[in-house]
Amino acid sequence: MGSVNFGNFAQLLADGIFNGTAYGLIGVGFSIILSVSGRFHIAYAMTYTLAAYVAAWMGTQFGMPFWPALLIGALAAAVAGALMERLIYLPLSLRALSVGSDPLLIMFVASLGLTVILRNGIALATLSQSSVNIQGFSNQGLNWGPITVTTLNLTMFVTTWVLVFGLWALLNLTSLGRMVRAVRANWEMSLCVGIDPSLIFVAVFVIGSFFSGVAGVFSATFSSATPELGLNGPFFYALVVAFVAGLTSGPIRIALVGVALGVVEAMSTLFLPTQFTPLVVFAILFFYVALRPVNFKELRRKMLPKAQVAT
Amino acid sequence: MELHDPVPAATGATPAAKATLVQVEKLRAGYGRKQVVFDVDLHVGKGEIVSIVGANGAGKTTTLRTIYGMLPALGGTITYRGENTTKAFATHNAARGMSLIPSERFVFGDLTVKDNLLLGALHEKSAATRDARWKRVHELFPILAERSMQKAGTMSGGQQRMVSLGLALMSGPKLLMLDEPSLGLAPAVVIEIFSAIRKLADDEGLSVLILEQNIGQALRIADRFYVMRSGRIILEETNAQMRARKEYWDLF
Amino acid sequence: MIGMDVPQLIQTSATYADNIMIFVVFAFSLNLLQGYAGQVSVAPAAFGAIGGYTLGYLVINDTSILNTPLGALLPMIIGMFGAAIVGALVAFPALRLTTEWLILLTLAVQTIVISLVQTVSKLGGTYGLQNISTGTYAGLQVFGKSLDQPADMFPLFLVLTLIVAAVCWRMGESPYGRVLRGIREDEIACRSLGKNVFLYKTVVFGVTAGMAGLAGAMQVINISVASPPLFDFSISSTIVAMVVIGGAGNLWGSIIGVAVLVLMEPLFEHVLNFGADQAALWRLIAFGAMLIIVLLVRPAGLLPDKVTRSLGKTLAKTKDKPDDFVPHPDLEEMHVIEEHLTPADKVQVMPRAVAIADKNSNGQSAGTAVTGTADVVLTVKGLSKRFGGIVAAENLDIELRRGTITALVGPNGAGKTTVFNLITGAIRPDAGEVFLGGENIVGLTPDKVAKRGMARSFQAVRIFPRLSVLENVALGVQHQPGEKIVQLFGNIPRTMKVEKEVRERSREWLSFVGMADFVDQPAGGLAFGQQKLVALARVLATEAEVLLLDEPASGIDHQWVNVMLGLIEQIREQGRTVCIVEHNLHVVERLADHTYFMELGRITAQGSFAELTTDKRLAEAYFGTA
Repeated sequence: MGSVNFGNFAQLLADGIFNGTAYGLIGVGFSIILSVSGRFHIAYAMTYTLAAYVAAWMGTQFGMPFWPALLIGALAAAVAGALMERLIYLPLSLRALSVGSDPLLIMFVASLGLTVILRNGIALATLSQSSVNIQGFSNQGLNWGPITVTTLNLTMFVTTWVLVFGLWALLNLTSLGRMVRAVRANWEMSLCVGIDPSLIFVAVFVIGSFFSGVAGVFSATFSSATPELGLNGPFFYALVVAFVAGLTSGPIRIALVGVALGVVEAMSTLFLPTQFTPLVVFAILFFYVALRPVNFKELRRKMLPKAQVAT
Repeated sequence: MELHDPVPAATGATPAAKATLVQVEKLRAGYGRKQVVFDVDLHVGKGEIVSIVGANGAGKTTTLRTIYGMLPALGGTITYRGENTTKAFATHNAARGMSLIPSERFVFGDLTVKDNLLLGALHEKSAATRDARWKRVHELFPILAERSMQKAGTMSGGQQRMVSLGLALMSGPKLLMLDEPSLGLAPAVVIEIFSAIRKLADDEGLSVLILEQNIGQALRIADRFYVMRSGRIILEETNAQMRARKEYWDLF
Repeated sequence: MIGMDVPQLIQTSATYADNIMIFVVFAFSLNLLQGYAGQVSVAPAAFGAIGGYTLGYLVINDTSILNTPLGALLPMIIGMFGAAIVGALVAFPALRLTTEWLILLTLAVQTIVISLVQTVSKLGGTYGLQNISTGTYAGLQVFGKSLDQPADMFPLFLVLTLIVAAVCWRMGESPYGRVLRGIREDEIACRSLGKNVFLYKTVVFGVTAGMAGLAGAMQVINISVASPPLFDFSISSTIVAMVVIGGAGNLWGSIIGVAVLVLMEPLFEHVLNFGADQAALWRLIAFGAMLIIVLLVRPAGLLPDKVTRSLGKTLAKTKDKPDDFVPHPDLEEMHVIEEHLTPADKVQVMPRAVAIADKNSNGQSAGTAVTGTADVVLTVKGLSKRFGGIVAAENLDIELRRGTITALVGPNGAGKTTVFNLITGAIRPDAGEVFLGGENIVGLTPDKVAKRGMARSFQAVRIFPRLSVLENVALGVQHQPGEKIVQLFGNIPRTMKVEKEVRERSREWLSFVGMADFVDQPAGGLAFGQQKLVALARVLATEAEVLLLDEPASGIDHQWVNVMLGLIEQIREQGRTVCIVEHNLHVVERLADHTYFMELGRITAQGSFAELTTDKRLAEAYFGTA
């Protein structure tokens, strides 16, 4: 904690904005899954990690350049997410409802199981490797006046906002997007107009997991890919961003909340040692949710009764 | 209380001979193992407006949702447009012309009026048909054009009802099912909405099944009435017969 | 293992046993919290970290702490209390919010704790605190016995595990545990029966966090290191998996869950001959897969508690068979049973045992049921509530007289159920007073209102599905010492004696409603009409002065309605005060001594049902204008 001067401040602000953009990306993906399907999908952290490993593998095994590898990684995440919904969450949800249990908790526990399987599966598959790195991106520092930014930061910033605006366009300008927003707004009425919610659920898992994959690849490019990649800070921040922004918010707003969170976190290092910044984030979550509880009843409504799914 | 025998469609004894659009026989329905509807028989003819009246908890909504396919039937048969739809799902029935408007939360609150209406036409492939319906809906409810970009959830109760009807009509339904449409609305608004419904039934042969606690309003448009209590139909009467009653306390 | 000699064999077996015991303690703690009390948590390992790191930190930085005869036990106990306090604090913000918030909250705790121990340098950072035992003068000891080898730790761990097991057993399989399970099934119903749910949650969170802290301390002693990977999210997930796979609500199930996981290691390593690192990962993968399979195939777990098992069987048998085939209880038969109910010789455990004890031997009640002359038991004055712009209640004045049935009727949206919520304290009114026995109860929470003699039933019934019928009713009985934690452990003979009486009492109430044959059946397996009877017995068991029955006749066909009506009439004969909300007007006509007519949150008329139905304006309000 040095003395505050403009240079310091500007650098912190820049760092905060970049970190916050990453949080926003993760948060948008998590939010679209939770707000539309109601699944408390903790294994989201694993699609994040999986993408990083796939992208790294593409680079080292096939010599793929950065961007195609990132795309493949994110697609792998998207497919994994869709499979989780179709093969695990949906059958569990139906089964829980047919015996009158609370589906949300059962799916959450299943999500934990998926996390355990994937985390250790990845560790097993890469046991012999000492470090797994994303290839093909040479990170350079750029000096802009008082601050230093890296090309990686900039790339991630631009990519994120492209994706966020793209999602906004998808949601607001296309028919699919209208259906997604419909299911999120009023699941029962969606049935009344003939939307099959289970298809929409798969769609949001594809979208959300894709976002998590992109975020995961960038995260691994900063450092390296480890099985713990998704399981520490980033995932928790995604939750905070998603809930603080509100589950009915659009992607742009969620991303902005992410940036705000990043900036607040960076600024808090002026007052606290770095190890306590997670407490700041936690405090934000705590006060926000204590003052304005999330409408979990709405999430419960998403659970599909048996009749509605054409099997 | 006398139970009037349902007038058989085949003999044409009803005032205007109408073919049957949906026939429900010995329907048993409920939630999981909790049965709330016991042996219900009813039918709705083409272009006919039929009302089911009864107190809260009588089983009206459960009956409606089971016909629509949102709930699995526990027994009995449902025949719609000649097809046995007892085990059909809501999405199938929606594609075949059934439309249901619930009693609560009957619009997509976060979406604009325009988006709500467009969602109604989800299954309609022909753009021409869509445009025609769009015009019709805006003729019936001009306010929807004015508020096209407003979020449906921010509109008044009556306006939301109009949005929900517009939504239903965009799908070009053959059978429109309404759950307590007059609930919480000012009488003038109810008159406007019910007139529109009557018009559609007369002009386009739309069949309507309407659940109501408010018998007075239902008498405006319904051709026939079923009365439900404790999950059973205890009475069937024509509009004239229902209207002639001195009091309704013993029906509920 | 084959080539080992005896001392090696002992140490290796002890190692497995120690590991099993550590995780058994973790699993017991989570089972009590999640399996019994229904509070989801993904932070057991985090509380373990608090306990373990406290021990490690104290031992490394202040070796004098080991100088008591307790030896290493002292820092263990300190760690345990530290974890317990944090656990209770963490529960506090979550109390008023739904269970899902606990997922979020406990996830935050787990992440924060690990993040803190990883970055705070005094706690060793990424590598943690090392060499905890060797850094001390004589290594770790308890009561003079060294704790160097696995076999040395075994007796200590065994004793600790047994103590934890005993505490969990006592808390879980007792009247206290019955309340916990009630909270798991339906918090709102529990509150309405007089249980201070907030207090139970705080206690259970604190106690289980303490146990987890103890397990964490055991872990640190076990390997002499306190490091982040020992207590991270994966470990918490594994513990959750153990409890879910083993079976919630059943301590034996947790032992099975742990044993399965720990013993998979030798399976993979020695039987299937994977390398050590690979085996460690494979068994976790297998465990995760097992969790998902269990959720798909047997969601209650391998060995769930007795009632849940029974419920599973019942549901499987009666799948898709609606319950109109269930015969209705015979009213005649029930009258006969009722005559034997006078408990003249019974110990007056419950001071409010009003109606039944007041009956003379002929079965005739002592109260008068003539309206207008009986005294007023509940007075509502000027009760008002708005939700945003909507008037839910405005200036309501209601009187309930002893030994009468009062009905609230009105069209949809009139606000009838809201009245119940307002006067029982589930919602706080904006203005007005509610006098019960002369005391203004506005502002009291529903559990306090219930304790003061006003209980309600719910339109949605809200019975506790995974509790037996008897347990459902027993939760209604007030003033049970076994429901208080101090008495639970401090005065065991008294709690056992009272429990016997509670069960007897509950049986009587079940006989009254005609459900005596079903006492041990899981309530979730009953037909809806039967569940309504059990719910009625439950609210009667509170022996509350005033009973608020929300739609007692809804959702059942006319034969069940008749049974219900007969019972409510008998309740009135016994001198109780009843208020019902009903939409079925035939029920109101038959039962009500006095009726209030409500429209849009206001009372617009009152009188006898006959009077109200002659009023044309009311008919218009109810049925609409033609």
